Amino acid sequence: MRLSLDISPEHPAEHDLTRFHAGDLEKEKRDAIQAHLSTCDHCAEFIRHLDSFRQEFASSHYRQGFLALVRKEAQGDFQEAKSWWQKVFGPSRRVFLASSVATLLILAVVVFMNRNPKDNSSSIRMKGSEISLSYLVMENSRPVLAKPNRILHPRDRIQFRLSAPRGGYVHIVGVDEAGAVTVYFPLPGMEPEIYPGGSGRPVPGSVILDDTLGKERVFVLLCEKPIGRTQLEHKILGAAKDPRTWISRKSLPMNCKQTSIVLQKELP
Amino acid sequence: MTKENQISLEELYDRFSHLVYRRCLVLLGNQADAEDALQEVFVKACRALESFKGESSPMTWLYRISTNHCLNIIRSNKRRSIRHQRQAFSGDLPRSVSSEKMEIATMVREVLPKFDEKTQRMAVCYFVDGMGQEEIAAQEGLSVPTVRKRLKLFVQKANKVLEGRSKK
Repeated sequence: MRLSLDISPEHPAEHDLTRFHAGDLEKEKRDAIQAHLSTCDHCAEFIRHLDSFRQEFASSHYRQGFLALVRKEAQGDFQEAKSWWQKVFGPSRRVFLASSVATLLILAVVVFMNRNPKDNSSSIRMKGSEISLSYLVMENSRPVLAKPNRILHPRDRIQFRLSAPRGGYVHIVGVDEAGAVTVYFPLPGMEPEIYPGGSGRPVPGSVILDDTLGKERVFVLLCEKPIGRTQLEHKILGAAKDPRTWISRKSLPMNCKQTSIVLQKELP
Repeated sequence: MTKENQISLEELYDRFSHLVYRRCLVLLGNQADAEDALQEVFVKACRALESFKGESSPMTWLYRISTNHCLNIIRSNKRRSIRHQRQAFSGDLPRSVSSEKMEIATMVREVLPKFDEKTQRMAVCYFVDGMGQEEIAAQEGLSVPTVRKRLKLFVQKANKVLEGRSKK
């Protein structure tokens, strides 16, 4: 198949049909499309499909939770940016730009001076700045690194591995399709622990998977301060009324470095 | 736009959220990224809602935010791995998105990072949204012949790149 600029002249542009469906068209175009729809099954079907997709979307998305989360995130970031801006640079844009350039120059000098860092285990830096989560699966009593999209089974024993350029307090929490929240780390009764940073470092303790089948999104959060188990569960349950929505999200509304993976559990 | 007819976040959600999600799905090629993008687009829209003056329609405005957001993701994915670009869509596709449409979107996504930002936006509007050249010209502040010329160049270069990849 090749890309082509050719478009069928018989039908209105798809974008106009979409705008018609959303009630976003000016009267003249709306009337023209209305007239076209009465004679064209192809375009009428497209509109019907959009209408049914709207219904499917509405039934699978929790409107109130979504909007609350959006407002919270939008407001939180704005307040944070505003206070930082006002505290450090004041209201002048020029001052801000000049200060930014100066800060960047200082940073560049610092980075240049630290090109060959001393061998000091407490200041290990990894290439890249992202954190990543993987896991080992016990196979015949041997830990094997799971490939992406691996299918897991109930009673499988797994151990998480974390790669992160810097240390911090690690929290691992999962939400399954039934909306059940599981805190995998810290383990019950365990004190929050500082993860020292490093590549593919196993997180202490292993997990035996329960009988729940389907998808589970597992989030890992690397934070400057420890978060209690209850607070962690509460954050997830409180952020969206239906915790199942988190299956499709990649991050939680928390100010920590984070990433997530999806575990897929099926019967053997 | 006056205060009386200023659009609310709720109205944006009710009228357009499914369309923004569908568009992100087509552009990014998977449901998890599309869900995240939907959330991010609405967070950005929420922040900019007060400054939205109604120069364009709400849907055009929201689409522009989602285009920029999705293009950023595509560019960052390109930096991470080319495999992500070629990833076939897995999951339920809305019936309003034909498999042919999805194939075109996948091809466009694969070659997008080879073009400048303006051409990227134009290609998305034309091939993914099915927008007319006149509308793209108005949106980008260019003449229709310029838009046509740039899209023609896009098609030529894109087909060359895609042919080269399929031979490998």
